[in-house]
Amino acid sequence: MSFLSATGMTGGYGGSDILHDCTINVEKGEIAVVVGPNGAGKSTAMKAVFGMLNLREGSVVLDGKDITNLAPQERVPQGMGFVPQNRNVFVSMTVEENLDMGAFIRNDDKIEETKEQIFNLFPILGEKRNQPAGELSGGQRQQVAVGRALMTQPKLLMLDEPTAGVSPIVMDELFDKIVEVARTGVAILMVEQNARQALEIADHGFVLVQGRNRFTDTGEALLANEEVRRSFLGG
Amino acid sequence: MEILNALALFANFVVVPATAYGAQLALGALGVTLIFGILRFANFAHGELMSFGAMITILITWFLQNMGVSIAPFPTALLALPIGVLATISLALVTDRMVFRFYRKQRSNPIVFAIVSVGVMFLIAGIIRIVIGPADQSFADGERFIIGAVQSRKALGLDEGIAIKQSQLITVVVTAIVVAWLFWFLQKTRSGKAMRAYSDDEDLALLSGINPERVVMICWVIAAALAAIAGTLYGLDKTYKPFIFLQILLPIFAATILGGIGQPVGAILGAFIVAFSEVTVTYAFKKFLAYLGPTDWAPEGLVQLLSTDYKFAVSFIILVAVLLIRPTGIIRGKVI
Repeated sequence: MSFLSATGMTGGYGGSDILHDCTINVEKGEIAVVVGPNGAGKSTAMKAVFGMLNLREGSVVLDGKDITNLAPQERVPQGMGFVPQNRNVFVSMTVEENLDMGAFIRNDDKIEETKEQIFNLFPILGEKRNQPAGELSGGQRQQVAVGRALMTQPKLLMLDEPTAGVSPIVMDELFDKIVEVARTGVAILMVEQNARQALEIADHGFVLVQGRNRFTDTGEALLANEEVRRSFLGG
Repeated sequence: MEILNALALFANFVVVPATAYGAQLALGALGVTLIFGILRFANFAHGELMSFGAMITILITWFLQNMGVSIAPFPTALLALPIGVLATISLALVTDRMVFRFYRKQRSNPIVFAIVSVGVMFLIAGIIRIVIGPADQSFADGERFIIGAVQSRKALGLDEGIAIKQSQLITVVVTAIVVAWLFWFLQKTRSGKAMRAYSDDEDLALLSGINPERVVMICWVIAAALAAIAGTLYGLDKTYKPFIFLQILLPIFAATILGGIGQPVGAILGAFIVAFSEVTVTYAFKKFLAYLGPTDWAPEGLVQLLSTDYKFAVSFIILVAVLLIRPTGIIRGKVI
């Protein structure tokens, strides 16, 4: 069984189902990317993994432990870190305070150490540690958001469109950082609009169409797949 | 010399009382702004919370006076204040548990919360009328003046003196200490940061593992403590009138909105602006102008812009003007 196995997820926000028998697996130290056309249920699938959606069927198992019935805030101590797409930093608080808030649930004395690791990963955050996060650029804010999630020392980091609204150069940088994070042994689950670039760094890709798994393969294989290229990657 | 006399007069009748009044309003407005930042509604019961704190403090003060306990030259009320604070915190937590929590669970609209708080306001007002009655109560003892009028006239060598009441000095000192502590708490402590994070973004705070119920509880404790202190200081400075605490909501809300809702610094700023406007506008400038004009001349009328009976009109005008011109307030806050 995979480190995260979300199997047969079926459900929606109360009305009709959005996800139909959707399955997502992520291994430790690997990057899994969920791609698909607009309205395919990519973000919904991730929210389902994080417990923000009532599942009618299916289960979510993290590290051998069934967490299907836990509330989102109860999944954080279980090792899940979630970076929402919007409103993902405390705008009125400084960069450092944002990171401190990420470490809120931790009681150990290694918090400063983790903070230093994050400043090494994202040097710009160290430079701007005393600046309110609301004053930063879009790309820098995303770094704060990822940093805040990493402060909980998650075993699984989930990113909802981390590159939405940032320039291509910043996007490449962010992807590089995400690869670096994965190398430290963290499992990464990411939803992306920029499907081609995301699949290039992905170990596994999940192509969703209308809430169903359409293709599931390694990132490389999906990029090479004629049908995937024609339908979802623009040629 | 005439100019100095005019300034001394102005200081005595405007600057000193307005500073004390501003400090009392600031403590009230801080409570309102904290509740708004965390629980996201305008708490109309805050005035009665102040009144309740003052009432308990008065009852304890009377008890201590009867027992012969005194900390002269300081007013006995200072000794009774901690109990007033504790009682007010208990009342706030009980109302939250019995009333507000229900609506929080329902995720009710802020308007519903505001109207519920009006109900709580009437309830607390009723309790106060039953316990201490509707009449004015005087409970100040100890030294009345720090600097008397005659004393300061001699010291300054002027015709006009600047008298400072002990209650005014106590008000300013206590407010300074409380405000300094509050800002230290919000900026430096774990719980304070959690409160700011929760105020900033509720959902993200939840994702970070911050317990909303705990944040709400701390918020009530602080707001109630501030309310009890503000009510007692106000009663000590003037007299305790149960009815005044309905009217005082207006300047407090004006100060909160003027400063920017949910912004503690703004609440203090707004409180002093409201207090100084109110006192200046209702002050009769006749004697002041007489000093500045030619010898043996005095203006015919009182040169008072507004009768003191209408002093709450000042807050009302400020409130309306802010809502029309800059609804976010001086320091960009939330918009109701």
